[in-house]
Amino acid sequence: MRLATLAWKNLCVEWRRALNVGSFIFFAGFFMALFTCFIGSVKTNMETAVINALAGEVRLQPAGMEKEDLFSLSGSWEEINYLTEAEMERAEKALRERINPVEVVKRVRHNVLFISDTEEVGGMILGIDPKAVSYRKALTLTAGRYLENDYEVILTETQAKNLEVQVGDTLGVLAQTKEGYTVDSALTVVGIGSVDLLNLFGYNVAYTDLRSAQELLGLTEREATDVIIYTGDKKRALETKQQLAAYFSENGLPGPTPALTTWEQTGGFIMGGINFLSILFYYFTAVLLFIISILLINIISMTVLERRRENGTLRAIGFGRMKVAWLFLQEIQLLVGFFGLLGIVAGSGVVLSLGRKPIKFGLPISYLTGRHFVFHYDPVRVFAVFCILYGVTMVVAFFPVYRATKVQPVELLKEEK
Amino acid sequence: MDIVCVQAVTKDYDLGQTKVHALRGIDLIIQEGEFISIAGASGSGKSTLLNLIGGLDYPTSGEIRINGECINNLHERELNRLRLNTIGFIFQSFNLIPVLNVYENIELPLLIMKGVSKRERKERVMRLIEAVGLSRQIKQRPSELSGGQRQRVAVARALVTKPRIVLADEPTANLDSVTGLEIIDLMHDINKAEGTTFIFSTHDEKIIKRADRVIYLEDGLVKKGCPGKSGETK
Repeated sequence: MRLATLAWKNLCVEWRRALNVGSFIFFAGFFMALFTCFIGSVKTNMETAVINALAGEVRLQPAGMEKEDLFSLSGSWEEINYLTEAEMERAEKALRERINPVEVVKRVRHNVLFISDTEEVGGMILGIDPKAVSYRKALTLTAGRYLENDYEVILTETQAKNLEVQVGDTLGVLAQTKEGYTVDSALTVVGIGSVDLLNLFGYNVAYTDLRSAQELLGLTEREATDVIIYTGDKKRALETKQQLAAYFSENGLPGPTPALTTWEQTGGFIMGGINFLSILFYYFTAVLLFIISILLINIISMTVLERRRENGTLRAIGFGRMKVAWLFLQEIQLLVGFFGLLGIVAGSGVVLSLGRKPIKFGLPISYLTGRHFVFHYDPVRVFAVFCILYGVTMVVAFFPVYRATKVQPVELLKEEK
Repeated sequence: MDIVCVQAVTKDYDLGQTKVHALRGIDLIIQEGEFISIAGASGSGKSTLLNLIGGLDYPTSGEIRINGECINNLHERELNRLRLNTIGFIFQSFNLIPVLNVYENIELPLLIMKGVSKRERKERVMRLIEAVGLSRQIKQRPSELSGGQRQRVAVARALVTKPRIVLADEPTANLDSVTGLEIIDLMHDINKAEGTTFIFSTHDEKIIKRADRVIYLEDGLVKKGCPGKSGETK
């Protein structure tokens, strides 16, 4: 027999006691796995929304625009910054030669005045290739369809409500061209929808086709206010940016080099918000863990207290304090190993099955989750949860165990009589 | 040879505002190989004296020497070593580990003893199982044994480390008289065969008669006026 056998036998024979502590560890593991995957999924979904709706993985803009606000264009509507034809040509060449992007989206962003029959509302319009895939992934329609032709617009719910328009209505748009002329255009509302996860941050942009937006700004077909680039791997954003920057410095045009930003930089404000939310979630997790710890201390204290006789006997026959403590801790170790893992596996199973199709959420949860929430399973996070649960359990178990073994053996044996 | 030497030992317990004088100045010398009974009424200090000799508790004053070594000021680790190597314990309520079988209960102290090989462990345990007559119950757990059988396991466990002293605190108190006498006879046989010193407490006259020497305690003192030297009888 080995000493570990005693721990193992204690668990097997006294299975009710083991189940008492074990079930608690199981549920802790289960909920922590579920919770951490939820937090991770919210973060991942928001990052995806930022990339698809706003920033691409890398964004190319006119020089000096690195810190431009994503939500509304900085400065007045007369202040127009755009990539010239020469810059666009150089950028396209760079992308062709150095990067192998999955999708490159030319965009025109412009401050305009929307005019309906009853209302006038200022806002930002975003011209995009109607066939672009990325914006469709981020933009959820509540009515109508996505862009197909010129002179179409998709409004956010807030814009449609403020302008009192519906799908099929025509909307007047007033803008100022790069030459300083004021132009107006008529756009048909073909869809109403919003970028779900960015609602929380007040994202309120109307989508139109690229050509219509270029006309509003007086740009040629080859000009744009920015270009967003997708490589299909957001982790490669920095590398892509560096490759493009290197190309521009090697094959520089006269004048300043266009600004390049990764999605983390472009969506800095939102990423800050996401990180704040994550910290908030982790704070809740820490509180949850603290509560679990207190409950575990109580349960383990009770368990150890029930075994004063065993403790006293072991001490009397020559076991040292730490040896006895180690025996108890070995049991806890086996418990957390088995039940903790079981809880984690069960939690993972739930996450994986929930992740098979999007879950529908209503307000206010949909602010965090979007209307169609997709659960992402992250084995690294789940493994970290197991390690944390294991570590915390062992640390909190040590205190009641150590306290129990501190009692003089004569006191432990006296208790029995 | 003096294996246990108790000199002017007192033990007081603080119970809030009152102080209980469990032992009031005990002087005692026990030779190696003796089979001694500590007798006395309940509360006379028998268990306290055994606990002090066994290093489970510290005396309030006085000195206790085990095999010539004063154990009063020994560090806890040294006391553990003493209990493991020199002293074996037998308890009134057997104190076996309920989840372990007969073999494993007897083997338990050897698991933490240094220098005992697996083979030697097995030999020692099997020899003792045979000696206490439990060969057929080797795989049974304490709950499946009678009181007498449990106490036999406890005796074997106390002896497995080859201690020089075995302390038994009322080892027959939870047994019927016949079984109690059997256990005492078993201990006596081992005492004669191995030369192990046995010190056991009891208040049962039939058991007392089996001892080679009896030390009577009364109110924390060795009782005077009894036959033999210093209240001791042989």
